[in-house]
This record gives sequence, structure tokens and C-alpha cells, in this order.
Amino acid sequence: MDMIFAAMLDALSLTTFLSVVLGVMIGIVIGAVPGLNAPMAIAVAIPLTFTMTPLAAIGMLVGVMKGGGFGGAIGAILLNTPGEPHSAATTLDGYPLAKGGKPRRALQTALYSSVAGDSCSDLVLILLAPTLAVFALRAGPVELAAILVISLTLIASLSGRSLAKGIFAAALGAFLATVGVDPETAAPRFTFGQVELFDGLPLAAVAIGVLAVPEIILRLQEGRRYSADASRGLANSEGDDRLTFGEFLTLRRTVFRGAGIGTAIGALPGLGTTLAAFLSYAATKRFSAAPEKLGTGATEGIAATESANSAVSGANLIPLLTLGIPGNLTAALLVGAFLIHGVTPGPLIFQRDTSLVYGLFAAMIMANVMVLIIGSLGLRVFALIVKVPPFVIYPIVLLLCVVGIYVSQGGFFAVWVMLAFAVLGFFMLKLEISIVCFIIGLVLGPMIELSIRQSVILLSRNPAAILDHPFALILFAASPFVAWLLIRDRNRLSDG
Amino acid sequence: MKHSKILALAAATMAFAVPAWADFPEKPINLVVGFRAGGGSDTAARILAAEMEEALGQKIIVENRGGAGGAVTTEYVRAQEPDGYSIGFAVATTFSFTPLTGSVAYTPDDVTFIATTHGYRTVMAAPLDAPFDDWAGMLDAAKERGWINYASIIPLDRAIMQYVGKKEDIAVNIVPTRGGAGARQAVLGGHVDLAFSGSNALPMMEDGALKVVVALNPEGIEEHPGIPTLDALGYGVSAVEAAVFFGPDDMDAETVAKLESVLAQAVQSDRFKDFVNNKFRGFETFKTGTETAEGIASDAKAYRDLLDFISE
Repeated sequence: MDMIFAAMLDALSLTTFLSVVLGVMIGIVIGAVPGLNAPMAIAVAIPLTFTMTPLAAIGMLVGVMKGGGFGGAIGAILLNTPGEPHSAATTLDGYPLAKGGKPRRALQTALYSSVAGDSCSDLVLILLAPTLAVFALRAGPVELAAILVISLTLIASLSGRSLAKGIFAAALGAFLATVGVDPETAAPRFTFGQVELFDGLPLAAVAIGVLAVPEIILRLQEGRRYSADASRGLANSEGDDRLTFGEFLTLRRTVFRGAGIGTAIGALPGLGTTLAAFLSYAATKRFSAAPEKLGTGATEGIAATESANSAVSGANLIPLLTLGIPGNLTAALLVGAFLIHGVTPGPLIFQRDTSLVYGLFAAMIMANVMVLIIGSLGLRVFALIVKVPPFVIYPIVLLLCVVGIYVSQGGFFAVWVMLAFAVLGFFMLKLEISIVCFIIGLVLGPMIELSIRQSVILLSRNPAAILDHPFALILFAASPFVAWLLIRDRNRLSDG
Repeated sequence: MKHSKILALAAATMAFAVPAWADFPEKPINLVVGFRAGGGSDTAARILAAEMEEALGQKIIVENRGGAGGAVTTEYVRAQEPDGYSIGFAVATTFSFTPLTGSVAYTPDDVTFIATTHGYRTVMAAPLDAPFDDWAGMLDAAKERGWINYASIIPLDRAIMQYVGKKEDIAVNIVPTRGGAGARQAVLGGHVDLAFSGSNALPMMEDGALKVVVALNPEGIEEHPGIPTLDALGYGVSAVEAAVFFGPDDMDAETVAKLESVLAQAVQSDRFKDFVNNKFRGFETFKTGTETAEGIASDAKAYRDLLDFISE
């Protein structure tokens, strides 16, 4: 115990502090720029850390990760231009609230929920990592398939007014996710000879294309018609634009639920932030006292998604540190960085690299505090973005999207993909087909495909072995019941 | 003022005299890395790029074009001018195995090989509670039960395991996984009996988290002589994987020689050696462009035979 405190105190050096602060700032800025996102921020920051001490380097990357998590919410809330699929969940309430004249309130909710969710999952990581990791390992392909199927059922309640359109959108997303090399036979599917498509459609390009670009086009269409009324509306907002601490406390149930969902999903490698954010949103819709307000600018909606997706990042380190299994792209980049700095993840990491691991924990707590401080200071500045007329800001945003995708996805191919999906997104928007469902299909489709195919292969020689997976069986059996419940309650839950 | 005039004059003269006495490189070189930023392969490439920069006195601009195990980068680089200013970084199997699958348009003859800079080591790992400790035990267990669950990561390891299954007459249930993380998860959680893995299984084994039963690279695992290679077990197959620098077809021999010698020097740096041996846990090896091309040709032949045997 003394050693742990000594290690944590070691971490409180000026170098570590400054690198965490720098990391948080890089993360917030890159995360906030439309077209860029947290994994890109980390990829950019890794070469910067080559010459640092291991603790400073890892502290900085943790700072980037956490700063990027909050930064991603800024573009989603203020401009409706999410940089990552999971931020699409935050736009559902964040953008209407900001547009309704309360941008600062929306950002504050996102910031506090994000930091609260993150802190909860960090606490779980620090206290329970080795135990949880062993538990999480027991979830194999069969369990993951079951979790994904029931999650998809739960998320179906977000399909908007028309269930048929929602199912269509999710199926389209899942279909497009089959593009790429078949996981089993390595035969190319729907790649039309394009090597670039072998690993599937570039997800960031598709997400930004379908989510952000159509919004930019719509705003530009308004052009100079953007009336003085709207800006006056925003100017009037100053009064009750602020979220008081008391008001935030009323969201505590939502935030804790989000943090719980995010931590659980994060501890199970391979599920990821998008699932956590939407699952938490669906759960909030289910349990909310005023479900009809969700989707129209409720702080509850922002709190649900931001607490959940931030909680994933801390919990993702559970399988990463103890088993070397990265749960998502961000975590995979961190493994690379650990490797460079001579830290080998493994079950003995707490004994082998004690000072570094506890230093990392101290850096994580420090980063949470810094996100809160730097984020709060920045709120005023960020909120000003909505005062810039759309015909000035949106062309810049479009340019940033193109450049961001070109740089991060390696070339013009991804830019064309982004533009093609922008056309699709535009028509979906006009036809009121849920883009959210499309994204969910796109992100969860490959996970469901892989886990089900793995399960089938694993059980093919001995089908009776399915009885060794009682947890999965319960979830599978519950799915139709959950679906029935949700359809029954559709009227109460639907946002119409 | 005077200096800048002289410099300008000198620059102008040089611009005219380029073909006659141009000293390659006279402008920054683009190095296209076939893997995503932040991983072990990318890091090695960036360390080498930093060393090359120092030796050449020119900037090396590293760009990542990940995807399809280096094939995306190969397609990109081979479409560039063969002037030495666009070079690529991929692995040996990008050229020796991927073209055999019939899914890409290039062959090893469509590029100029510059050098091989370091080797990768690959193994098969089993869960800690597996009912066997070594290869023979694994075969016995598989024969007794009738089948074995194997987590595969890439088409080559899949082919090798199919080959073993056919030779030993055991049914191999090949479970596809995405990337090293999926296979790692499957083996640590005990969801499969055996899994393909990169050298990152070695520290896990040393921590007592899993068992390593066989090495697929012909060199074996130097620090753990107890782990046999597939080759030594009498199968005559192996997975030869190494980092390869290459350029478009028809590169000028002098340019290749220059890059080759700079790389030969770069792999000797302490920083790179430390990374390869202690962090990446690969092995030191250096091959010239010609040796690389020969090695890849003979690997490709071996893999062709392997695939023929499986499909018989």
C-alpha cells in the first residue's frame, strides 16, 4: 500500500502534470475539430512522446484520450457534425439544445457527465482491474453474440417514428458493413477489385459522410437566409444558459446508469463506445420520467450518452493492462505506445511495473480533473461558435472534414467514400430514414457477424456444448420478450 | 545578402545539372507504411526513418496507408514514379503469400525490393488449462477428441494449420478472429485449444498466462530453446515474416544501392536494436534488395506447394 502511494506521489511531478495538461489540450482541440477524432489525436500524439519518459508519455496519451472524448462532444453538440459514430448519440439531444439557444448548457452537461462517467470507470479500473479482467475473459464468442443481439433489440427503440424505416436503415448499414474480406475465407466481398476496400469501408469516412456532411449542406442551403431572428435568439440565451450544480445532480441516476453501462461494455473487449452510448440512451429513454422530451434537447439525453462513452475509455484499460487485449482502436494505439516505452501488458503488470501502473492511475485521475478545468475554461469560447453565421463556419467545417479524412484515412479514396455517403445521408435525412439506425447497423453488423460465425464454428462439432453457456442462452431467450415489450410501449417511447 | 545570391546561383546551376551529378536524395523522401499508425510495425518504420533522415540529410515523410496486410500500400507505391522518392514499407508475406490468394493484382515482380530490416516471430499458443503442454500432447488430445479448435488471424496461419490437420489426419476447426486481440482473447479465455500469435505471446508466457507450443518462424525462439519449430517437427513448413522496404518497379540500381546502404547502417543503431529485441521481440536480420527478392521467390514457391497440398 505504501508503495502504491509512493508511486502515485511520484506521478505528481511537474513533467507528468505538464504532459497531461498538454495531452488534454491536444485531445480537446483535435476531438472538437470536425473530421478529426480521438483515435486520430492519439495517433498524432504518439510520435511526440518518443523522447519522453515512459510515465510522461503515457500520461500525455491518457490526457489526449480523455480530452478527445470530451472534445468529440463539442462538434456534435454545436455543429451537429460528430467525428465518431458514438458522438452521433450525443447529437440527438445536444444539437437541439444548442440550437434552441442553450449551447453552454449542453456543453456543460456533456462535460460534467463525461468527467463523472470517466471517473467512475477509472475507479473500477483502479480497484478491481485484475478480478474484472478474469471475469470478462469468460465472455467468449457465444456470450458476445448474445449480448450483441439483445443490445440491438434494446437499441431498436431508437428507430424513430417508423419501425420499418428504422429496420431498413439498420439492415442497410449492416449490409454495407459486409464490404471487405470475409473473416473466415479471406475472399473479398463487394470490393470490386479495390484493395482499399479489403478491410471494409473506412468507418470514420462513412460516419462523417453520412452524419456530418449532409448537415453542413442543409445549413449552407439556408445560406444567407439565416435570419437575424436566429442570432437574436442565441443572444437572448445568456440568462438561463447555465447548468447549475443542483441541476446536474438531478441527472445523477442517468449519469450513474451511463457509467455502469459504459464500464461493463468497456471491460468486455470488442464491443466499444458506440454500443455503450446508444444502449445508455435507450435505457434512459425507457426509464425516464419524461421520455417524450428525449430527442428534443433534453440534458438527460446528453448525460446518458456522454457518461457512457467516456466510461468505456477507462474500463477499456482493464483488459488492456492485464491481458494486453485492446478493446477498441484508441486502446490498440495505447498498446503500441506501451510497447514503445517498454511496458508489457500482462497479468503480472501490477507486480512488474508497479510504479508505472500506479503512476498511470494517478495520471488518469489528474487527466479527469484537467478535462474538467480546461473544459470549463474553454466552454465560453466554444459556445461562441454558434454565434458565427452558418455561411461562414460550415464551409470551414466541410474543408476540415475533407482534410481530416484525407490525412487520417490515407488518401483520396476515403474522401470519395465520405462524399458518396454524404449523398446517401442527405437523401436519408430528406426521407426521414434514421441515420442513427444506419450507423448502429454499420458498427454492430461486423461484430455480430463475426461472433455468430465464431460461435457456429466452435459449436459445430459438439452442438450440445451450447448448454455450457447459460448466460448466453438466457439473453437469447429474453430477446424476443424484450422486442415484444418495446413494440408494446412504442407509443409511449417514440419521440412523435 | 551575398551568401544568398551565391546560394541561389548554386541552386540554379544544380537544377540544370541534375541528371549529370545529382546526388540522391535532393528532396524529401515519402515513406509509405503499410500498417496503421501506432503499432509495432509502424514504430519500427518510424525509428528507421529517423535514422535514415540523419544519414541522408533529407527529410523522410512517413505516411500510413494501412490495410489488407500491406497490399494497399503496395498498390499505391507501385503506381508512383520509380525515382526513389516514393518508397514503401510492408512485410515479406505481402509479396510472398498475398498474391497467391488471387485477390490482388500485383506479383513480387511488380516492385523493386530495397532491403529486409528485421524479422518477425510467430507462435501457436494454448490456454494455461489446456490438457497438453507440448505439440505431441496437442496432437494426442486432438486425436482423442476428434477435433481441435484453432483461432486464426491471417490466411497464411490458416493454411499452415490446415496443412498440419491434413498431414496428421485431425479435424481442425478454424475459428476466424480479427487481429491479434481477438485471437489473444480466445486463447486466454480458453474458448479455443490453440491460437496463432505474434511475439507478444512470449511475455504472456513468461508471466505464466498461457503456453506456447510451437514456433512458426524457421529461426525459432532463441531465448526459449524448448519451443520447437514446425520445421524441426518435420512438417517442412514455416511462416517467414520480415519487414521489407520496397519501391516501384524499375528503380535505378544506384538509388536502390544508396537506400540499401543507409538501411544497413540504420538497423545497427542502438535504438532500433533495442526496439526489435526487447520491445517488439522480433529478431535482427538484414537482407539486401536482391537477397530479399530471392527469399520472397523461394517463400512463394513453398506457399504455393502448401496451398496445392491443402486443396488436393
